[in-house]
Amino acid sequence: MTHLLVLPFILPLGTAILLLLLRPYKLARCVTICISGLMTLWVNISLLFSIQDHGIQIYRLGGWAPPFGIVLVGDLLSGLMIVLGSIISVCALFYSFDYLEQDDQQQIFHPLFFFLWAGTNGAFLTGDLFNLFVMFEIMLMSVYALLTMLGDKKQIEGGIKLISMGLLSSVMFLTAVGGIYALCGTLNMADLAVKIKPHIDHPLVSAVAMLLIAVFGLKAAMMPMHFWLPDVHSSAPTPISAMLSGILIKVGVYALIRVFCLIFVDLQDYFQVFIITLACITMFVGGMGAVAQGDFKRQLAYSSVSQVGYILLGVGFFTVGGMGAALFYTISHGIIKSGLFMAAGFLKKMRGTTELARHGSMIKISPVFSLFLLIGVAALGGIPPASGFFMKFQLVKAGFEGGFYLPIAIALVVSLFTLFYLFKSWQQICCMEQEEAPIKMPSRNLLIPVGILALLALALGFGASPVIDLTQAAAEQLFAPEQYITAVLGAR
Amino acid sequence: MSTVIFKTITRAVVPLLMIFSLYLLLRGHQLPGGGFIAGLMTSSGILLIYLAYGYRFDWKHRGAFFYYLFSGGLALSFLVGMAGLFFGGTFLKSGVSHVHMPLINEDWEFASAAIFDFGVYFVVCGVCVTLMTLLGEEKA
Repeated sequence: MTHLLVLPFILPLGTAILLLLLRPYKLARCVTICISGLMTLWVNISLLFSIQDHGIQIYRLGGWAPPFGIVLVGDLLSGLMIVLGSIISVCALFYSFDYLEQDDQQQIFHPLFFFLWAGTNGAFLTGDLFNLFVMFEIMLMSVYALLTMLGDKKQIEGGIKLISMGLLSSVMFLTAVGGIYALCGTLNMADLAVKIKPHIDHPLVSAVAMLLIAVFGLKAAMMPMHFWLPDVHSSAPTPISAMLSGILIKVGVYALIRVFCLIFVDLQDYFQVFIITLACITMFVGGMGAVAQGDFKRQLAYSSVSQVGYILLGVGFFTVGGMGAALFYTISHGIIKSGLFMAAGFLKKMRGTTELARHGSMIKISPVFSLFLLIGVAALGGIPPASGFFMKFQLVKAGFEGGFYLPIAIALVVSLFTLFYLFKSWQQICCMEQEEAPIKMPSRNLLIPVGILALLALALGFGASPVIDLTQAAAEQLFAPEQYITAVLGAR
Repeated sequence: MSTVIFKTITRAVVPLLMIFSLYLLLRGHQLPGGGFIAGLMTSSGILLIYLAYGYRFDWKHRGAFFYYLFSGGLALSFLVGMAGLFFGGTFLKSGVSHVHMPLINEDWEFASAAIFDFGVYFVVCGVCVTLMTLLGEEKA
């Protein structure tokens, strides 16, 4: 057994603690952050390759054997998600150095950020339902603090919404976990998958499944529970907005996929119509909301709601093609959207607001910025050669293969809205003449992570095929849950 | 708040609280108890003293002390987890050894899980006292 699987959790956790202890020493903190940020990225990437080569890996925490102890399980889905998470995290970390100008802000920000990172990695890797709850709590606790850190009125408002949403979902999650434990007497996901088979007609099982959809839907901002997202994502400090939209809502999607492809495999048909309907409404409502916004960050937040609808649509097909498309969509959207949020943060630094009407003439002020923004906008709108085209193309292809014509039609109509509002904003920000409001030019270093993410979005378009193959392989693995169960519990 | 009754009861209760919390801490890795509950109890004892006697027991670097108490505790727990990883097991693996105590002629059990619990204890103490004093203090 290698220790590679536990490193994505240990490294950020240890770094966070070290940063707490190194609080007075700025230089030491910077060095620690750079080294361990890059190391975590490297570890996550090598973990993905190792999973690709050697199949599903497990790690027994504390040395206890699986149904009794907690295991970490790395399959291709987890591997892909932690790599996505660490790319976005590294960019957000780099961004935060110049975004938070005062040192006392950084003293609070960085340890919490690493706790958040440890929580997300842990949530992607854990093979235990209750441990998943604990990781969610680690993530949410750090996000509460990170969100309200700067003490803005809007941030406090967003913080209250996030906390009430988080508490509600925690209670529902605990209830669901309690229910399933009462029925099966285990919380290890692989063990549950086996033990739940005889009980699958029990009313408690569908109740638990419904509760879990509600919990993960709340986290992923699925339609009736999307109300909290725009306020929270638009008011957060920009590196956190990027993390929230890039990776944290994907944790909800990930958990939904994991639960429905492993534990409630037999309930897939039962919930399919429900999930697809909600997904369609989610993308429609999000798209409509985004068109109506006059604030760039709020527009991006509504756009996140709409894009999560697309991802959930792919999940809801419950076919290998649909799941692969959803995974590719997740990766590509995470990279593009966090880049766009960081670009919005640049605008905020410049004029102190993200209201579209107050911005303009960026093409004269900073042509590089306009180019990056154009790449991001074109990528999210689905214009080739950027990755956005392939993510939508894959989804539509999977939909036609499965015979889901109406949802695909809705998705295509909504994608026209996406194109419309994004290019309208780009035109306003970059091309419209804007004389008023004095400009304070922010540090150009802020553009480096934006550029990296924009180039990654382009690279993901040009080199789409290996990534698509990888996501398809992950989807095939998800639809053969025996592999996962055998890896955790051993051959029986 | 600090009436004679309250002060007197605090004097009587706080030593008991401290001893009972240490008892819970030391048995916690095998029996009901543990670092979390013991830490809560100790910090409520400290807060009782603060409420009854004010900051008379205050010293100059109180804030920094509790800050380093909880980050140090976190580091201690983390290092115990890492020790499991380095000495041949997995992360969080606990080592146990039985030592024969000469004078009382008994076998005592020493587990590294107990040290983990000490870390938790420091974290809870540090965080609770820091939070409560921050909430109770007038804004500087």
